[in-house]
Amino acid sequence: MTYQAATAASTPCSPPSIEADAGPARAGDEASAGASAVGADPPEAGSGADRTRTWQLWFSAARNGDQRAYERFLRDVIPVIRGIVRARAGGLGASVAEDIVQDVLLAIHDKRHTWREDEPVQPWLYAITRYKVVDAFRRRGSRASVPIEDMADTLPAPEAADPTAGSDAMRVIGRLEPASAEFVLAIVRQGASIGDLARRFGITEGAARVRLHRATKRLGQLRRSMIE
Amino acid sequence: MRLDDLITRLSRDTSRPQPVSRAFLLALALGGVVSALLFTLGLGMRPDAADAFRAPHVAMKPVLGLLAGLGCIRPALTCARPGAAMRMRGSELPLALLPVAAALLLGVELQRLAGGERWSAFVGESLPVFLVAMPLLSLPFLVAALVALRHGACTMPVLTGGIAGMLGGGFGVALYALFCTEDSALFFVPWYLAGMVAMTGVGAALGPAALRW
Repeated sequence: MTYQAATAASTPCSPPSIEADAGPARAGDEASAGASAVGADPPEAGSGADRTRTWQLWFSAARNGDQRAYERFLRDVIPVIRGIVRARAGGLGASVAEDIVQDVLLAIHDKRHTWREDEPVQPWLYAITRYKVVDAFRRRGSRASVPIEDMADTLPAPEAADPTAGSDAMRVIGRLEPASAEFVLAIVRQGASIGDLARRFGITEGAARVRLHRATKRLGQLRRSMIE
Repeated sequence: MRLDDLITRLSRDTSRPQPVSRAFLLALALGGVVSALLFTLGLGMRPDAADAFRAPHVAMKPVLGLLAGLGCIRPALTCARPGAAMRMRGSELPLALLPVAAALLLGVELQRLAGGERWSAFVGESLPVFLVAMPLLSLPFLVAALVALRHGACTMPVLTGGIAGMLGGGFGVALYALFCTEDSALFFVPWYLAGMVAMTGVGAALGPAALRW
């Protein structure tokens, strides 16, 4: 389903709670189950510039008490937030990423009074998202075992003969420094535990955890840079 | 789906949180009351106040502190919102005047005094009192500022804490100046500034823990 000029020609600047344009419901919009029938939807956030303006309208209306606009706003920003969180914290795993997304939503609500109407919404949103991602890393820094188990799904099975051929994951690992790569591979190929790693590399368990956390974080960064 | 429920729940909350600026100014007023109380109980106005403050360089003593304290209000509020980094642009005028005023006062006094007198003016007679009293007068402002700033969403806690520290130091010093009888700029310029810098450090150290959200 595409947005025709009809949608654009209708009043894009009117507050969301004013009915009058029953634009076509966006395919796949998880919020629209019943809502599309009502026909009071504001223009959907399509291209980047439209989205900026739409968010600003919705959030502004939301702060003036428009519940529906608030709901639309929150639902619409989630995929974008999720994308940012995954890009920056992918190494921590999918469930952690979802937790962060929830944290961001809660923060948007708790700190909604810190956005000024005359400013664009995106920088404000992104700043909150970045802050929560950093906070997640800070809180989870010691639990390095979580990330690698999540990553294990994407890494080749231990018995693969030459896993480097054409494998995304191995390409990413290949870009790690040799010491970190060895670390990660020891876990993946041999199922080494923190204790094993500590013994094998002659370091303390605490140091092994730190190295593992750094390696995983680096993997996340590399993966992101390879995606972008 | 949990996220769905969360969204529904959040969107139903139509309450309007107070703007940070209001909470902040209220908190500062409260901090001011506490500091004023400490001042009255522990120090008291200098007895020669009516005469002494006629001299411009003496009148500048509390002004120095006020320049810092007042000058930090807007930066603190700017920092209390996400994405402050993009908004922090230069010169807040009161803060910018502070080094200028300080330099002028120092310059005049250095010219006035000869070599031997300078050192004793710098050391003064009431340094121990200053070192104890000034932080005590500053802390209520600093604590009040930090508590109020928690209502915001600060993404640069060290900087914000530092600004709150300078704010507290500024107001603390301004209050202290009403008691202090050391009128040589060679004393009060370096020491008042040092006190403010120290409070800035305290605020910056407290920032990350105090301003988390």
